Amino acid sequence: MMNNGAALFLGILLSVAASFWTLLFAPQLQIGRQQVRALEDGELYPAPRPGLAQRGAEVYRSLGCAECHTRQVRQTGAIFEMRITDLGTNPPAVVALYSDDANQPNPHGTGTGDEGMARIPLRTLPAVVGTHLSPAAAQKMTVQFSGVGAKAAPVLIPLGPDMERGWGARLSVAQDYLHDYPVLLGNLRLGPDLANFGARQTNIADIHTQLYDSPRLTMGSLMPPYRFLYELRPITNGAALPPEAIPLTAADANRPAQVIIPSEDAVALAAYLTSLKADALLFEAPRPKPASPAPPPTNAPTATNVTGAVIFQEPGRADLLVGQDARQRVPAGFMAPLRELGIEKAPPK
Amino acid sequence: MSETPATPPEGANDPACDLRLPAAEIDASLRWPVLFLFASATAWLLLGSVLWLVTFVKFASPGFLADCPWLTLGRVRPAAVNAFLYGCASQAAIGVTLWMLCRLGGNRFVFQVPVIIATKIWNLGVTIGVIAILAGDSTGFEWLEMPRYAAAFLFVAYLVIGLCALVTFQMRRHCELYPSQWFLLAGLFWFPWIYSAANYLLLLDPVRGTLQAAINAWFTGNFAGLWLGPVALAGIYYFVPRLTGQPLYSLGLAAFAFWTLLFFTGFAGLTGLIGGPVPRWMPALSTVANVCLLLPLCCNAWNWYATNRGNRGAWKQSVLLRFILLGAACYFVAGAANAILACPDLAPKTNLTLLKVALQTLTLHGFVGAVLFGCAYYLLPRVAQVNWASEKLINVHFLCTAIGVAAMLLGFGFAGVSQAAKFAQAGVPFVEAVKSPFLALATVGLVVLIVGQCAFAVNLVKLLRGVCEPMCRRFCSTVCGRTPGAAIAEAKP
Repeated sequence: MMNNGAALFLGILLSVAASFWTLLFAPQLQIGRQQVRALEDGELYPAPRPGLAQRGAEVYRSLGCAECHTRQVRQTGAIFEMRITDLGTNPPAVVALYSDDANQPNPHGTGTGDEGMARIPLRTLPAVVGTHLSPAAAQKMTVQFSGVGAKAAPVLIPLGPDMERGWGARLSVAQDYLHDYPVLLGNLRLGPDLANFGARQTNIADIHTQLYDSPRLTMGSLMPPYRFLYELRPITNGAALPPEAIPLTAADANRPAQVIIPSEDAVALAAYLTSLKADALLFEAPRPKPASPAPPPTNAPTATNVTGAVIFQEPGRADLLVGQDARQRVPAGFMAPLRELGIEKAPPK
Repeated sequence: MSETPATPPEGANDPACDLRLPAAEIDASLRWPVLFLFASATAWLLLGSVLWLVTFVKFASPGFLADCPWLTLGRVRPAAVNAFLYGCASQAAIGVTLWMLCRLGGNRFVFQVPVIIATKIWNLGVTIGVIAILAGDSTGFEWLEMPRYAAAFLFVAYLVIGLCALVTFQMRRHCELYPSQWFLLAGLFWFPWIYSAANYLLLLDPVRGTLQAAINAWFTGNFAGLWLGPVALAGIYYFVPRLTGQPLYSLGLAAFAFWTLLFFTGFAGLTGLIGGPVPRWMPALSTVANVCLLLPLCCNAWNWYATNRGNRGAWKQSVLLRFILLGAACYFVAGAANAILACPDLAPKTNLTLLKVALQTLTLHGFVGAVLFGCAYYLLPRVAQVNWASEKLINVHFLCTAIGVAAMLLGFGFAGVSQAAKFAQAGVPFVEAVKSPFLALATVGLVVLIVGQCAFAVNLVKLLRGVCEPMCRRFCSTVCGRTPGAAIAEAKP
């Protein structure tokens, strides 16, 4: 065979075909036809970028920003937090269970679960009664608490250095990139990840200043200055400032104040950067819900009627997995009867 | 397996292959295409290296050349990479392929004119592409940054060259195939396939979403692994037996390595996407493939080692063999490192750091670069029929390549490890996590590497002058009836 040109050719062709069909064709079948999807609140995700941001995407590509900036948040793990949102009809049992759990080290926990549980009294709801829980431990606790009538829900918390750096609340998934062309994931991080840049930086003037001269905002920044996108203009007294001017330096004894006037490209680039948000609550990328404005109190009971068993039989439903962030949903005096009963536990040593 | 001669044949002296033409005749037929390919490859090599050096300076001092949009960091870096990959490495690989196919097949090369024209088109395409990248018309896809209108030139040019190479292969006068020919044939087929597929699916009729990133990773992995890689492997398989004077240790082992390499490399490119927004099975498959690639890696290494064993001192005599062995060593280290870094435990930490750059440098400049230079040192004087001007410069080039690649590997490697460690600690400010003193080492490595490349360029220029001078003289003597030397002598009173 190794001396037969035709057989050799056939073998090579097979190797090409195997690789082609497996890595190009099969994924096309799997995610190639992904569509824009409606979120819980009815909005479509991902939303198309406005025209200016779309133009900014071209500037981003053209300047090669992706050589140093990735646009993908990566997640290294996840933990569960157990939150109790309603004590139910038998508060003493709940509290007893709570203290029992606090006293024994959790065999399934991945971290120091008992510390987290012990210090927080059940004075206000929702209360976090367990942190750093593995899925199994979270499920066990959910079953226990719902067994005594409390409404408990595990909250999935994505973990990883990217989350800790504030680059995103969850990992990036394919859905986030449906409107992008080209998809610039980036493969080298010499600058911070930009997947959620628009969520953490909303000050346009700061973005322009950073583009113009990054070390002004970030000490020791390695980002090259993009001065060619701006016009530097001194401000003499009485001169009319264009509305888009951004102050750069204040006036001092030697020279007048200076402003930078962003060019069209710079404006578009800034619009693109602020449009970068990949934090929608998705089926495949659960995360804690962001703190929402307090809903009317009547909302509280209906939001919490989920039991642990259900949660883990349908692990995909993001809204079930993430639980509720029902801060202030419980009236302030709710815990008073508990205190009167004298069953509020002191934290163990 | 039949009784294939396990040493690459030199020429008609061997009675077993009397159909083969004399080596000198074959070399003469390849003269102009190969010289042209290597001359333009060297020009692109120097341009790419200078642009690369600019990115290093920019990284150390961000304000350097920052006021010119054409020279902003995000444009210079892909321009440098493209100049190296398409301008230098691919052209040198084509030159080596043509020469080796003719030498091993024992036939003359008859497509001088089409290949020279195609090479001109290729160079035109690379020129347009690099200018387009610097002007801001990059596509944004790694190693495919050249826009459509430049890629079209490259593709057409390659089709001509590839077709000529295939017909040349079919015209071989010696029907038994040597391992080098397997690898060359694989490269010849893989390149147009991946190039057209990636360009079609990314630029002409783009797929949606993150599949683009997956296809891009597939392309870069295969470009290094199944286009440049096989040509370099063919070079090693050709020159290790040739320069040591020993028969190849085992053809069967080589065949096994060939097929496993061919099959697994096609899946191995996606490890950079471990933890990324693509279906998980894709990078997982790549991890498996990278570990499986240890099989051909070890088979190849053992085959070369066992071949070399018969004549252990050969490398001391031959600087060419030193180049080839350096390339083989880099191949081994890069393959092993790829397999280790593809592990699901390590990859999420080491991806997105400079470790990737370290491995790319090792593969492109260590493995592919050193082997192609070694081949060039052997074949260029033979096709040009002019000897290298300076042995010393060759030695300088070798030392610079070895030191430069080692320094860049260590510099980028340590910087990458430090980044991986610091990226994982969210307490370390990101700006601090990126910086590393080892980058200075990598910069020094690049400078040393460039010095070596200049030594090669000087030698090549002298060689080309040696080729052109007699021709000029002959031309003048036929046109004017006298030699230019005589004319000068006459002009002087």
